Amino acid sequence: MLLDVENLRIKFSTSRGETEAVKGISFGIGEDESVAIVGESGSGKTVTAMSLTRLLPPPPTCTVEGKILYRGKNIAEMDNAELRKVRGREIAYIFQEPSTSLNPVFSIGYQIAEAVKLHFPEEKNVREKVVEALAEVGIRNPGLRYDSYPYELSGGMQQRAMIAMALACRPRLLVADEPTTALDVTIQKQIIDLLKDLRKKRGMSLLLITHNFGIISELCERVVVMFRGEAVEEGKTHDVLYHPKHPYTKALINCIPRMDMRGRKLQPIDYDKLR
Amino acid sequence: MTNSDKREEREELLRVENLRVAYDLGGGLFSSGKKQFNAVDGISFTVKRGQIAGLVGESGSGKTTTGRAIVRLAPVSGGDIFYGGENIAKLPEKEFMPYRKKIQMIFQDPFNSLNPRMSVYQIIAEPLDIHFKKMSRSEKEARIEYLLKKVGLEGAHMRRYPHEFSGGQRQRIGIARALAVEPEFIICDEPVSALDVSVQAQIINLLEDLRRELNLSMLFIAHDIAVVKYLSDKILVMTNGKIVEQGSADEVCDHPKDPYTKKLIAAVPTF
Repeated sequence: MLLDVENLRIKFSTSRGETEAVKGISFGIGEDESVAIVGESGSGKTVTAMSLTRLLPPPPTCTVEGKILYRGKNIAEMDNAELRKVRGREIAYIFQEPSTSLNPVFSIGYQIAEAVKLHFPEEKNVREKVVEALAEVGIRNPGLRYDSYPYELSGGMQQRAMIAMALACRPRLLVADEPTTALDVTIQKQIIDLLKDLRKKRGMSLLLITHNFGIISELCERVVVMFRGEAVEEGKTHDVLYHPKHPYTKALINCIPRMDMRGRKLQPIDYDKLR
Repeated sequence: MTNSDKREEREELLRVENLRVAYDLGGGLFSSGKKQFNAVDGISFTVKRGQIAGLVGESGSGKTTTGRAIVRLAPVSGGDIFYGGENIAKLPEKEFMPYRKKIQMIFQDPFNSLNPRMSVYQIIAEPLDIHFKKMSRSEKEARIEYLLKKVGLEGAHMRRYPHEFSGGQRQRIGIARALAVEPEFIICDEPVSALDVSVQAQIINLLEDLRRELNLSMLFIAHDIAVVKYLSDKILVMTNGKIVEQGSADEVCDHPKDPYTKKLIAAVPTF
């Protein structure tokens, strides 16, 4: 196992008391494996992803319990220096909204170079590496685009730049949190194809956070279904999508309109029944 | 479906002919001639009474502008819009007023389309104040309570403010506001794309029920072709300001003819 999460609990303390966002979930990601966490908003999927490299606010605001083992080492027990070697270098992230993830006042090349310089201080040809990374994610004229500012790029191109930044340090695990939700479907397809392609070339593992079952079936081998902070079902993508066992998984799949279901009434999830 | 066959016979409510919305690309002071960008570039379509026409396209295709142009939220630069036989594209503002009542809009983002400083009562009463000037306060309250119940909320909710509601509930408030003035035609601009999938299903079902019950016509604008196919009788596919294909929902989705429609459908990840 590349990453092993055991009995992860995430609590937030707010002015209105404590709330448990993640209630003891366990899952693993193997080398060169791609796993999806699927769920609705508020199910705890994003905080789970963020906890993997301790991106959540420190206690007392947020407490994380349980084990997060990256190649056998517990991330919770790492000191800052150790953690910095993992965060961004071994486990990299891309987020949902590329336009808010990129800094508007620096060129994209500069921002990607920052990541490279941080993790490879002895690297001399930083610019060359960045241009390579831009080319790898399918940005045309990468040498020219290095000096482009985020606002000069379309949403799809910005997300490519984010992927280039995440991949410039050759991570072993890419955590993609709703990477295509803000994008048009044809652009979404390009990004899915790009991720597929990069995974094949690099043998990189992927943790995909999404609510879109279609994307999961294209990209992931295994799925964890989260509902109200719990992992209610886990299994191979095909099994979960076509033979869901948990009533929540069934309900979630049934409430999404699909191209072949005209005339049938949509079934909104009946949360009372699931209690 | 026999239902949609029946609808085929129905009268035409909206006819858009050669609609064009152009924006000036304000060239510099000394540039020769003004450049224009056609956000909507000569499109034509019709919507019958009780029919849902789905308008699908990607961002920048002009689908939102089309919806907004019909209710004059975007400037019409050319073409005609016939509503119930009358050309409303060039009517003076005063004569257009009754059509503002007949044609209502539901917007995409329920977080930004409701004024946070207004109570639900004020939000829904506002169109009533304009179009039903003679309504007394108690009549208004009764009407608002009726509307809130109709969209699956409670009468008591009218004293609350938008921030006290979830996204799905807010979209219901937006729908209640649109229904307040008894419209015949509703333009829904991406009404479910900001919502969670299960809430999306609730709102889609609500729109479908309301359509049937009130015999509403709709222009349903969305980028998700699966949602559009589910809800619509006919589909219009738009790209670069032009409608590249239109036809019955099944026809367009199952046997697309235009290369862009094919590409759009092929891009939807399915399982």
